Amino acid sequence: MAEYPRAEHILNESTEVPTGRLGIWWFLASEVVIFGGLIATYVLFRWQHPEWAAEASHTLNFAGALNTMVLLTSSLTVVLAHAAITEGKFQLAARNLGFTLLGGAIFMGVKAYEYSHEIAAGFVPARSLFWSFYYTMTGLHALHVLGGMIAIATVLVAVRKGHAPQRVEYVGLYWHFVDIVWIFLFPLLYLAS
Amino acid sequence: MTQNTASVEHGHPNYVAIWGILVGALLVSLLMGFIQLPVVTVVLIFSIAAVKAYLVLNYFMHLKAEPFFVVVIVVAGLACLYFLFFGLVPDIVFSPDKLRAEH
Repeated sequence: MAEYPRAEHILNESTEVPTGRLGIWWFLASEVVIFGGLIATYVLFRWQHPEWAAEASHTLNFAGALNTMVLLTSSLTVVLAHAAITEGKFQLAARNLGFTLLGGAIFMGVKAYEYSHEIAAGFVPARSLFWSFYYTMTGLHALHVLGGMIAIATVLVAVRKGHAPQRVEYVGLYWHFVDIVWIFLFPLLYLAS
Repeated sequence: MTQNTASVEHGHPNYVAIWGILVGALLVSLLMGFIQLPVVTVVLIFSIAAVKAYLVLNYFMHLKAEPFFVVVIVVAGLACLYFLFFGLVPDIVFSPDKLRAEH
């Protein structure tokens, strides 16, 4: 089994996993069911409604692709922050967390542009079941991005003071999960039209 | 509870190279839109998404370096999703007339 450098943690004796990291993994497993339930239901409805392809063609592919690129890059910066903290480079870690926050802000800005464009064109949630799914899934995801940004900002402040190095990994795990969700939302809602 | 010192056996993977692969996969997904074979396109696009998720999970989230217990937690979440999906199939897929009447 490959080993990666990790910051010091408090281990849970029964699982040999640091308690904080164990909690994050449990949390993410529950999130799998929340997002996965929505995605599974959408896939089944989409299977029954091939005409949704026409609706999906009105989503903004370039904006979705840009946001995918932004989230992939912010995943890189947050894992680089984790790598820096394991080497005791707190300022470098803080800088990478700052870049991650910037990525989150750009994502939210692009999403706001998309929503305003779509709503102005009449594609509101009540227009059809496709748009209800679209706003529910992307809206819930955007809320998770916002939550992640708040968590990262909190950890960033602590890291700048040289505290809580293990939390960089925890917020990183959460941020990567948000990235994975978007990796599936993008083809489902944008490309498969 | 015990304290664990940092383990540095094999170092970090090349994160920038993995990011490059992820971005390359994104570009390939976008190019798939030009293929005029809808079923092939959908299969390829979602296969690429699965590969991207695998890379993020294993290399950015270090799942492959986690103890077996963490893998069990992830599999448990996915198993719940599996049962949910197939539990919904009869209601959604095999009731087309009812659904079309409602929507």
